[in-house]
Amino acid sequence: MKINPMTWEDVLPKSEIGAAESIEMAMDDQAFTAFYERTSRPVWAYLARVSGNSALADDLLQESYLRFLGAARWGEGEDQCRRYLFRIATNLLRDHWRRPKHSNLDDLPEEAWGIVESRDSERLDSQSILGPALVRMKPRERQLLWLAYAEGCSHREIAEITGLASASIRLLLFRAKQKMARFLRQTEVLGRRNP
Amino acid sequence: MKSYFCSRQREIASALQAGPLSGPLAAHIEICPACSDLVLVAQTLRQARQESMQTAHHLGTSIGSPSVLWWKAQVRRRNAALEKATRPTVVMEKIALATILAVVICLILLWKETILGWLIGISSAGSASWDSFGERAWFPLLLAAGLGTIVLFGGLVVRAFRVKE
Repeated sequence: MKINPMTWEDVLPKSEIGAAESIEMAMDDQAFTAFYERTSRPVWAYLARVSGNSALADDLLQESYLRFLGAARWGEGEDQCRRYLFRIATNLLRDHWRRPKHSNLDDLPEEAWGIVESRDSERLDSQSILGPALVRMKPRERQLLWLAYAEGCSHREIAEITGLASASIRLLLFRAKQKMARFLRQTEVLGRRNP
Repeated sequence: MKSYFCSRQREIASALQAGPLSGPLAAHIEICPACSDLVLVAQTLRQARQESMQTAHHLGTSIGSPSVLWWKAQVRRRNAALEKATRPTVVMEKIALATILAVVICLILLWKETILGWLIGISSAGSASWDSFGERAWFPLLLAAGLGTIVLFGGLVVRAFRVKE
């Protein structure tokens, strides 16, 4: 009598296999590639500018996609998927900041946040003015400003991505914008004095 | 110059998405500090976004192609499913180990007196005859053999589970 070798797939509950297959059917390799091409650069830019570290942005971007694929909600449409991806990236940033000694996002020393380490820094014309201003902002303020003005997200979308209350976004954003405008003007004035 | 909420901020933010401001909106930002802040911050961040996206050409080499990510996600999902499926086995394994340990401890506590007597007997064996030692030692020896068998079989069971995994 011939005995067929048993694999772990044979003992996996059929429902789990079915769930995995349904995700694959909803989002195949090609659909993901197209989604990746449209979203990877904006998400990387967000991670790199908010964290100030391009190597960290690479790592977090990869992890964001892996987690996204693990819990893909492709059926909800691309906009929702995009927001979900930003949300994962935001949570990973928060986890990264909380991992060392610091317990609160707002307690982080602002000096710890450097200008984004670009591979070709000569192309970053805005860095000379934006970098010093960003360094002086709190991480959460950078997140809010980037999502609102670089990504063009609405207050509701920002609330969904950051997990903050929708009602508080307007005021937080207003304060952050004022603060950043002040820093940008100061940097500009200093730049004119010391060209 | 104190900033305040301006009712035209939303209109200006929408116009900024389309391109540079002109006409009445451009005139408005000259007199409105809140909108002036908005234009300065939004334009700087949008420019930074464009520059960052241009510098992100390395992504294909640093994090791999989308196909590699897709494959990694599949492997991760499969591993998670396997882990979920084998969780009961792992739990049973831990319960078996804990039971063996509990039985050993209970037996030791139950026959504490006998074991102590046997140990004392060994220490004074020099003065006693081999026959009297044999009479007293048969039970602890049997106990030790039993415990040894349990531990041995427990170890074999655990090893068998590990090999299967």
